[in-house]
Amino acid sequence: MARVVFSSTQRALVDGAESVELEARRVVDLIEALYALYPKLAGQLDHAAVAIDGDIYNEGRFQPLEPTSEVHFMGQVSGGR
Amino acid sequence: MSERKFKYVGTRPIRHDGVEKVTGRANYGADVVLPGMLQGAIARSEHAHARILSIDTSKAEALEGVKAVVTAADFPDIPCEWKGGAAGGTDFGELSRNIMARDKVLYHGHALAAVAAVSPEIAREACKRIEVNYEVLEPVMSLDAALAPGAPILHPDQEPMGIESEGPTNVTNRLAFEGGDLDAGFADADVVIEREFTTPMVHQGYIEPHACTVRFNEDGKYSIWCSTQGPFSVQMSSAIVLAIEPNLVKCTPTEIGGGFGGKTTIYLEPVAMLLARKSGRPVRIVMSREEVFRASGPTSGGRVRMKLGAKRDGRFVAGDCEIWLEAGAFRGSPAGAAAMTGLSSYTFPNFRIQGYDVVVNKPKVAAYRAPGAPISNFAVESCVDEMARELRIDPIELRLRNAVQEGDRAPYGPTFKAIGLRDTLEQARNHPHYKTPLGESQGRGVACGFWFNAGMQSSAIVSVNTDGSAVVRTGNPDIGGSRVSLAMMAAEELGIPVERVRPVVGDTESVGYTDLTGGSRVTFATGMAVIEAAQDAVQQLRERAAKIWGVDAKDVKWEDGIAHGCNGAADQDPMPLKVLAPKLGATGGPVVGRAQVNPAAAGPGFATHICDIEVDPETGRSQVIRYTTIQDAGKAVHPSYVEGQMQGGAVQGIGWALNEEYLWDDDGVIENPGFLDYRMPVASDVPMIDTVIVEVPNPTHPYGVRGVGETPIVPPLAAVANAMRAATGVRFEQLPMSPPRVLEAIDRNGR
Repeated sequence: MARVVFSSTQRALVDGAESVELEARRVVDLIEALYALYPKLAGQLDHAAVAIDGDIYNEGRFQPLEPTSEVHFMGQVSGGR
Repeated sequence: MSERKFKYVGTRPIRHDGVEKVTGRANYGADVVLPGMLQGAIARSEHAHARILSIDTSKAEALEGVKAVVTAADFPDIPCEWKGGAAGGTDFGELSRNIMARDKVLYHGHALAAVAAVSPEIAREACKRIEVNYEVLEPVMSLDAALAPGAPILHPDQEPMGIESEGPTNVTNRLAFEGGDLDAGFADADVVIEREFTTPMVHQGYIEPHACTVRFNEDGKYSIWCSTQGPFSVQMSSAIVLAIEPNLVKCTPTEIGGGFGGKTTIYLEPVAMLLARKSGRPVRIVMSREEVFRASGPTSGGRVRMKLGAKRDGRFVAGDCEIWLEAGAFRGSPAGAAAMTGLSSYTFPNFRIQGYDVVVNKPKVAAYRAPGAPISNFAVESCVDEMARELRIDPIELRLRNAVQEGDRAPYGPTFKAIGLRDTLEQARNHPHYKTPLGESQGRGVACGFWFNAGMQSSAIVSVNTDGSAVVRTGNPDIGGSRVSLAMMAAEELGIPVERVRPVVGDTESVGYTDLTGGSRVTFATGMAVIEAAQDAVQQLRERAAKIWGVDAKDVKWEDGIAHGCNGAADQDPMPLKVLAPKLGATGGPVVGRAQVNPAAAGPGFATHICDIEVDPETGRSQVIRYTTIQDAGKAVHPSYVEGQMQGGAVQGIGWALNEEYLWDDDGVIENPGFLDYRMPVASDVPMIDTVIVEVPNPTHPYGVRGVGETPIVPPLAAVANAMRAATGVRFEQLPMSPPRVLEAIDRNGR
């Protein structure tokens, strides 16, 4: 099962959980499962970047997940140069 | 990857666009001229905070030579809606209101109306004749003023994100990262350093002001020529702001005279589009330098409270960093990035980092080279320096004892792969600069810095010409030498000299979608697309040679620009591209390679800087006398342009540290909107910046490339401040360390 680790900002929306393990083949499936589990989180991850085992994808909704994947959601990484 | 022997990558060819630029022939934003073109000008707010009661443009419209006038009434009322989460996003309603004020003006210089006329003088005169009735409101000009009880609220209807608020507030967002047990960490610390730092709002300071020219056709299509870092984002943003289909907008990027993030947004384009539509003639608008300062994106002023706990042996056990950043008139400071980068150079078993976004009556901030990171890094690295002093540990040694390496987790979540921070620190420790004795009134400072680097979407087309040369077409305006770097990567794959590869920056109708030039991503991500497109072309060339020889493509290999038969075709005479290229028509037509990528983030960038400074105790004037930047580039494609990025970032950071700041009067008016009074470093202010390129290959790129453009502006604020501490005995917690402030501090310190 993929393990989602929440930032402290996100914890306020997931009943204080630090992490959760969920079955999901792709990031988009994981997001749907998270929204179902934590209604307050709904919509918050729609534009988020996702880090899967350390690789950050600005648009990673359709990235595949491994059963051992560790996932973080964060602000999109861009920059000024 | 790292074992590959390169022929062109790692060399220093002359850039393809060099001749046009040094001879003055290159066309920048303000150089576009179209038949019948009108000149635009913007009428701007006289107040920093006011309600707009009425705008009367009749006297402007009556002026001879005026062809069109627009105000917010001509713009669709795009609803203000945050597209994104607490960690970042966009609000096109607010973008629209920043481009043209609606209901309220939120900073001095906020656009109120625009005029197109037959000459710039008439357009400016017409702007003066526009009459505005205001209800003047108290301006909010600092974080303290914004956060004070009873402060005027810029956006009373806006709901903050990430915080509970009992009523309207100027705080729009809070982002936080935590790990371990902070209280236990500090309780375990032998030494705790806690300080509060402030940095001023500063401007990117690009040489070329914002400029655009727009033509509107009777079929409803707009053509935009402008100085931008992202033609596709101009196309998309302008279309959204005007509520039209993006396919009605074509954007052609001109040459760009600097951007540093400031040209990743739009100011003039939708205004010129409306003026062109209304007048029926092309319209050009060029900002003056004063307008650039008053009304285009600076970066945030900030306040950072940093608390650092360590054991006697130097191990960091706790870090607590609280960042407050001015967003300007609309939400969206880089508080998130400042938070995500602030503690990322070191391992902290217990940490908390919080970023707050605060609106004030100043220009809306735009991206500026590693947005937010220099501000939080200034606080963290200043405290690390203090900790080294307290523990009597060499500052590089202390950093090495805590520096992140492969396998360590960043405070914002992900685990680092191969990174080069420790390598840069080792190189710094062994550099002659670090061992050179200092003279009287001189001090040396060290600081590290981190930036994520971005990946994002890119596409590339590599086409082979009939003479065996090639064209590389991408959609990224060339800010820092990316044309030649992309050509070098194509040359490497095709096996032909880089001079025979022509790099072209396309418009939005001649290349596939490509995200903007930003996030230090072009050589990494667009480079990856170029490599794959060139490999696609090479595969096609092998097939064509196979066709000529009557063999299978697997029996043809491509080496150094020459098709060689192998396996059953080993007896074929090698066929160079110059010989093969004229035969492409007879073997199936042109060879065009293409590729598109959306890679994961580009491999983090780390740097260590060493700064020597000399301070005149009589006047407080300081001079950076030696400066060395050491940075992990993964693989330097064109070392001269990597070094140029390192030097440029260092100089911008030195300016931020020593001199740059906006001066505001009590009414919120900028008093120094020009390079004479807004003091950026010039060549005579800084020594030659020494560079050391470290190459720890990035495992996510075929050549090992990392972005290099932003990291070098992250360490200098602290490197200079730490040098200043060593030279004067004073820990400067407020930037800039300008001569009056330094003199006052020295006097206060009793020296």
